[in-house]
Amino acid sequence: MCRVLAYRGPPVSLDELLYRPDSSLVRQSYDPQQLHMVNLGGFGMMAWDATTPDPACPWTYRTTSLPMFDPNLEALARKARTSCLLAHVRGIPLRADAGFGPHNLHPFHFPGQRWAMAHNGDLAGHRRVRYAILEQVRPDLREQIAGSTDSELVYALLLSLLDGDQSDPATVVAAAAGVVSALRAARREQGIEQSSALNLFLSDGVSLVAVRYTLDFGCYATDSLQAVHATANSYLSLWYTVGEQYGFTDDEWQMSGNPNATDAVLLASEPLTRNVTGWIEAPEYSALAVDGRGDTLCIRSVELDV
Amino acid sequence: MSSPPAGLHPFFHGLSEENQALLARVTQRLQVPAGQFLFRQGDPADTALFIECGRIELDVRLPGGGHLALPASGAGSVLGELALVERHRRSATARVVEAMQALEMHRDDLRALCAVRHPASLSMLRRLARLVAARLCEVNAKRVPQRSADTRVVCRAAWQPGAPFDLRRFLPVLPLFANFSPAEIEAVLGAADVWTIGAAQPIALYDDPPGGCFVVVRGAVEAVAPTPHGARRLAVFGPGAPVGILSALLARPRSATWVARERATVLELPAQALAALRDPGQRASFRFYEAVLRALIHRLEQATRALTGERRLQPVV
Repeated sequence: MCRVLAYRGPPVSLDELLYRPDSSLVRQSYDPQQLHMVNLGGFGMMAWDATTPDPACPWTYRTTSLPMFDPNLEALARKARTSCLLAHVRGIPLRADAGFGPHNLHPFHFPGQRWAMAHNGDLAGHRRVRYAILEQVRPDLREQIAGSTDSELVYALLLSLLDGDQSDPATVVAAAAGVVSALRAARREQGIEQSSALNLFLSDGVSLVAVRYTLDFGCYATDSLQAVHATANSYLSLWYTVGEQYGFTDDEWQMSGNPNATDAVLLASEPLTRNVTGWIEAPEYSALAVDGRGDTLCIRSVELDV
Repeated sequence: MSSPPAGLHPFFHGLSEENQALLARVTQRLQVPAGQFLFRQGDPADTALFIECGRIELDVRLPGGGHLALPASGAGSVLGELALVERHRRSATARVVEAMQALEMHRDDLRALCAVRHPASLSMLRRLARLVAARLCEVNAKRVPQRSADTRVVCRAAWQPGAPFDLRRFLPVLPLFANFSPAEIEAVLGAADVWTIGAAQPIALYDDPPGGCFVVVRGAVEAVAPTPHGARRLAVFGPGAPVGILSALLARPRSATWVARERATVLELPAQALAALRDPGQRASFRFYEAVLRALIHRLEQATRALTGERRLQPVV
């Protein structure tokens, strides 16, 4: 089912996001607090750093190695700083046909495209809607699909639906609403009525967008009891925290400084700390748009009642 | 510390002498001088305090670093009641500003009473459920202060009786029934009606008189507050969630309209069935109120976070 983390704000060490909090993203790969499965299918991240040459081009790191056993990632995280991060640990069923491999690692970022995307969720029966959805994907984007996941298909569809100022997160939110509508229609045609989480995290290095949406929430498959645990008991979560700066304050990794500031934001599948009182849950069926084009971040919650 | 008469605190008023005596054995009197911290936000919690006298200042560190001073707690109030039901962290920092005397109850002691199905524990669970329900109503009222009449109509004739799948197989894995024995599930199921309701159909309306409650088995139900500017979603509930329980507990008109978000299969527990679950002679009563209380606590935490988020960000609808 995966776990995702996105950050935008003053430069911070990757270590402080990926490793050091007591429920850091790396820890969430084997000990998530809000998910009944482990996320051992690989790790991926894109980190933007304004001080590097070609700042619009992120550091990119993807590996099928388990991140807690990856000395390269650990060493990199201790050294590198970022003002914008999109990172993902992949959760897949523990079986041979689950699509394990480097071609299916998030975040996805097609050459020449502004936005990268990571997905937290699982589209039930996606192979049955795959061809109907591919028909709605622009041919040049269709050619770039390298893997076999529902996530990369959603990414290609979302890019195809971007219409307007591509630097504006509102354009991405509108495209995400289009993705939900297209999936709803294709699933209806195929008679798919099964809970499918579609939590999306996108970044272009300047702004962030996160979508919290579950298609057919609560409609578990009635041929297996396992499906209830996996998809239906609670709405798949998306959390955020906003402040002046992120760091270790008062014995906790959290936002601090001016309480009304919106200079730094963390979006995540679940909080990076076991103490969740510093975090806020995004509403169901909504998107968070973090516009980083101005002097301070402009953060909006948008209802996605598709 | 001494064994106190539990009936001194309003929370215990109305309990039989026998139940009060038993609760006295599982509570301890705590006296704390002014200036001391009772607990700090984020601390693991396993006790509740029933304040007899004194004054306690409550401070919440908000996400982002701001602080919010809550109204001070004094004689007759209850602090930290959420910890009595499950592992929990304190959601505020509490500091004694006038010497405090309180009864302290430990989660394990309440559990032990529930485990032997002592009638006092069912009274405690029901009182705690009403306390949490009242707090949830307060938070929701802050989220949507102005509500208007709902002009929709509940059309029961459109509801399909029964479930299109083997419902009995799935009940034991739903959160509400997680700790029930098969016999206890059957007791609840035997008192319930089963319905399958189409997407977007209202189930109960805002301001309707209190009645029974529903339990979502499959699909989802959302709570919306009708306002002069349109309906506002308060929450979405999936399988295993009790729905419409607030008004039943508090004997108040419905505080929200309930609508099937997706095609939903639900159990309807009529008012009569709920009344029967107040009987400590029924084994299912204890499990039911434990589960309801746990669900209400999660809902209160979610609603509080939602209120914080709504005040922090400008929603764009």
